[in-house]
Amino acid sequence: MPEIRSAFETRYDVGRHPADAEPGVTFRELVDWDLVQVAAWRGRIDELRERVESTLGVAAPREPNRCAGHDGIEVLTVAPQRLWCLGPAGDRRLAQLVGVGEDTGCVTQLGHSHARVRLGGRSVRRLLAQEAAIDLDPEPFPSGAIARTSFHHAPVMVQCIDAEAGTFDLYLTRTFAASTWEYLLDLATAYGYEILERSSAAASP
Amino acid sequence: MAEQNARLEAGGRIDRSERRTFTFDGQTYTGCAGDTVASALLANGVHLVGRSFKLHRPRGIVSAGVEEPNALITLRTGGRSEPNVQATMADLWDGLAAVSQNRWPSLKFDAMAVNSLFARFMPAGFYYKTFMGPTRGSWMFYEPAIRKAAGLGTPTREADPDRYEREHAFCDVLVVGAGPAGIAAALAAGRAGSRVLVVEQMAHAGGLLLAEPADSEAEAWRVERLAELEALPNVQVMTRTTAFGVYDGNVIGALERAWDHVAEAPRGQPRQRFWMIHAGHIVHATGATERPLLFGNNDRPGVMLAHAARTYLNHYGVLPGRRAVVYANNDSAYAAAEDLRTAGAEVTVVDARPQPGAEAAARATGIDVLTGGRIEHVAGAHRVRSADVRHAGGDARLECDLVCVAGGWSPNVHLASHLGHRPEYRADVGAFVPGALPDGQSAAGAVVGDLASADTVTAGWRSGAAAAGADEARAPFGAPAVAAALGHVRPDSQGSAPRKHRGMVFVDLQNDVKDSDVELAWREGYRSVEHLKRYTTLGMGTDQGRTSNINGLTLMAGLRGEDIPATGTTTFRPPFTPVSLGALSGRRIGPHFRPERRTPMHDWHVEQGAHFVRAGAWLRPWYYPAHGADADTAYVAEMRNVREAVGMTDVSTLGKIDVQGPDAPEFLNRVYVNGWLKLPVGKARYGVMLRDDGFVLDDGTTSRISETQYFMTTTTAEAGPVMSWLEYLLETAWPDLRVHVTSVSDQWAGLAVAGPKSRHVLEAALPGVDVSDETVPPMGVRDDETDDGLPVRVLRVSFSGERAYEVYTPSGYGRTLLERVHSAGQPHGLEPYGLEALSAMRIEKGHPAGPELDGRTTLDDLGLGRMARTAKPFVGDVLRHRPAVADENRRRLVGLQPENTNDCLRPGALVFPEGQAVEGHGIGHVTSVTYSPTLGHYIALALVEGGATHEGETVNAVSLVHGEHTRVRVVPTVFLDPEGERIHA
Repeated sequence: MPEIRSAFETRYDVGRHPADAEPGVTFRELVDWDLVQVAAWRGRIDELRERVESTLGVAAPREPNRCAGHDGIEVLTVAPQRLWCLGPAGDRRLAQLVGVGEDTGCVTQLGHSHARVRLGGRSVRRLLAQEAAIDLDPEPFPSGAIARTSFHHAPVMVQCIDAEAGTFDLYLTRTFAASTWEYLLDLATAYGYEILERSSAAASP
Repeated sequence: MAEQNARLEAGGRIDRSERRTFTFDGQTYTGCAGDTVASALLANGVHLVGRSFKLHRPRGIVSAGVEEPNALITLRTGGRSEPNVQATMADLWDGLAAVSQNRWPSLKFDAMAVNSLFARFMPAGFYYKTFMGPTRGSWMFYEPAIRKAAGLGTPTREADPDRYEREHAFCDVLVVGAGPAGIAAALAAGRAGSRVLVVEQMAHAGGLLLAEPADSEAEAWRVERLAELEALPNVQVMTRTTAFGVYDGNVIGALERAWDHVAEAPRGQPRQRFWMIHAGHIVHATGATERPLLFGNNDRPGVMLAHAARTYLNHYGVLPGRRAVVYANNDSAYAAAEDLRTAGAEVTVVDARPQPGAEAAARATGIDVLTGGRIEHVAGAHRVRSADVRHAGGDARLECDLVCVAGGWSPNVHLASHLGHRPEYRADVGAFVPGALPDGQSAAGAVVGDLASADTVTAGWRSGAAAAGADEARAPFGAPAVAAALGHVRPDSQGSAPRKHRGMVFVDLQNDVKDSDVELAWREGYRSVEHLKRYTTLGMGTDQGRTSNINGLTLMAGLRGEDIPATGTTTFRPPFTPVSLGALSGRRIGPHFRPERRTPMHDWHVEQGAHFVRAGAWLRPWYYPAHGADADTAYVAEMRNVREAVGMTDVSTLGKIDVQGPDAPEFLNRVYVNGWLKLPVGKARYGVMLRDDGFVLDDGTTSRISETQYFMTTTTAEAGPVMSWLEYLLETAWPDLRVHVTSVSDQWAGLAVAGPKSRHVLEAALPGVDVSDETVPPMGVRDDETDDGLPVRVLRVSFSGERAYEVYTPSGYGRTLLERVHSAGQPHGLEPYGLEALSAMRIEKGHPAGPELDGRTTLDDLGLGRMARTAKPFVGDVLRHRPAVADENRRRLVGLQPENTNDCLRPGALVFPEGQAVEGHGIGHVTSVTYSPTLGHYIALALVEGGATHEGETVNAVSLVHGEHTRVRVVPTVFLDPEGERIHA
């Protein structure tokens, strides 16, 4: 199987920047993951959701803009009648979603449409606040919350992985990803940052 | 001059042990940590700090804050140089370099001071009357000289090396202003558990309390309350941060001067930061600004606001004068008088009222008080030296070196008015206060006219508690024991009409607007305050009339014979104070000025040295330098290679939309003009979409992947609009259709492989994928994967006119796909080609593209009318039949070629019939042009009235921009291979 190339393949300089300072923000690209969109026909979302839950073994959130996960699978309520299902690349549970409900909705492969970056560090909220008009405090944006926004006119989805630890995932649309990545690193210069080795979502803290 | 000869040995909040050395106009001085440039200059006895805008009169420091109209200096040098900085707001750091402005050759001896001699010929608006002749063009003759003489300060032309940032903040309660009311409001909300943000424009919180002595009870109150605020984890106090605008949704714009108070920000830190604060509730605790009183030569250095004098004395430890006249119409000035006397100055108070208030009178022990008095004018040039006074007891000339003016207080209503809520006049305080505020905003303290400290604290506390949804019980602490209430103003103390003074009477110091200018405006009919402002420029300087607006409109009210409320105020708009463009830009500069959209194959193009062109946010390869020194030579070579061998080009930028659902065929049938119900699985079709109004929206190729799934492509430019359009139709027009559309533009990378050898290349590059003509015929589509698992979608479609394929793969494999095709293509002579060659080839084939699909053309205009299936309804079908839209004489697509094959053609050239004068818009225009290496001459597509009815005729293509007239023949649009045989090569 050919290797999947990163959107910022030539711009991923692992290490601390500057080398002699404690970083305020950490970046780690998450790899080896897949994304499948499941969309319901009008009025059929409850039915489709049940089928997705039984296929994936995950209770999907009932509120909009939320994520719920179990055993390496995450289900996100990204829009009315649409769920995003994430998991390890090649996971058979995701593969089983194909045809999960042809009479209730449809499935679209989106595993290559985004780059996913995990951010952490004591200054991560300050960094994100430079672009995201989102209240990132733990109470309004708890663990599992997601929000679609834009970073300097490029679409970005923000997911709170751990509100207490201050860990967030950014989903950068693939063709904007390199430019947005470069911009984020520039913003992070104010705090010092570290680029960590790439890893899978399951392996990343 | 003795160093810091005006600095008191004790008192103030500056740190005398930490000295600062600075220069002003090249002269070296010293100051202390905690000084501003203004306080340090005053400490060194420097009162002359600038020259006025128009008349170049000597000017001194008037205030101690953001209302300063005179002391505008240029700070720093090189790329960091910043003109028009208020010396009263500029923190002093060691090594600071400041220069005065608007003078030549020096501040003391300014040649342009001669303007003052001609002041009577230079009233408001004089340039509209004096530079208008003798000819109509005379103004533009004088204008460069006037422009050169105008303005204050000179900006640098070097790049700014500093960093700026932008940031969002969220809070439950935003308190603007950290004076007593603001501090109380913040404590109330903070104690109630709200997230509180306090913004204060000065370097220290405290507001008017900073004018109180550093050893006073008021100071103890301030320190204690601030310590409590700092200890609350849910409260953040931001000093040196100015809230400059209130916007919809309770969003406030604020500018933080993060590291503006040092020579250079620490590495990586921003000099300034622009905050977008999203507040649940805003408490306006913006205080009030003191007003000056008017008299002759009231602009001389040494004339300053009484509260400013007290601030310099008690906050900065500077005695601004040793013989002071305090001219007042309210009690608050007596605190200044008392403190000046305590510090050792001789003080005389001139009170416009018959008698002062009781508390004020008590403070005047040992001070001469002249009641019922006014200053007629002052004498002195570079510093005031005497004041001529008329009072109840007669006339007097008072020798002085300082005149403190106290004309009352104007609440700072600006922010509270930004959303259009006009302020209201309160006659009892003689000032405008905020009008009714919208939900989610409140005001407290001096800004609403509460001029007594007890009132401000109570009101502030209540406001903060209410904002936090907490009990509004009385504050658990008392009010600071300030020296005096701000005091009530005698309403008529300013007088109603300009009196005859000796010396000029300035209303607006920064723009040199005199009381006679206000009268002139009234005489000439500019009587509304809005006209008064524009005609005289009163209130239009960088100080925005903070010390002049009320006096100006009071004068106008008197002239009009109306009361002040009837005269009204001008409109308050953001920004409250100037905001640097650097802060607004943040890091969106240089390479990050705008985001870039790069295909999954972008890095490969870069490695090949491709020259790129911007197509919206996309970077697309324009041409490859290996093929030629510039675009004109490279694309010709690239085209030839495609026509004769094989080329590859990155088509990842095309819009790609996944259309799925049992009603997908019907949906496509409605949005496209042609039929889609019978398209078999595994086949693609060219389609055109119209807008509702019958004009062409976009074209593209849509492939049927399964019974219920389609892969739609759009043009690069229309990907977003088409996606939005399809979603709109599904949501509003046809919500019953079981169809979902999803953008997959980022999911798929695409590579076009074109040329007679294209199939051979794909066979070699994609082992295991059947690309035979039987499996992938023209307009066939097939999903497959290579032997090693590379998934591909192969679509046989041609934009170039050659045998061609578009090969799609998930984006993460995009570069792999390209590298394999490139490698496999080498034995066949494969070369990449860019957008220029791509565009040229489609012109040869007569394909309409962006220049023709410009939103103003119809199906028939483009020669595509026969595509429309009249048996089925589709979007745009009704309105395309409107007479004007269906008119056969509309401009329709034709081909053009020059009669002389050596002539070149120009896009945008107008088409005229031969023999007709070149006037007006002609009968058409050229839309696309290229040099065709296949044909050996230029060719063009054009839209011409009547279209193909002109075939065979010779017309003129006239480029007015280039001054070229070219004889051209009208020909069919397809210049090459009209039978379409090459796609089977």
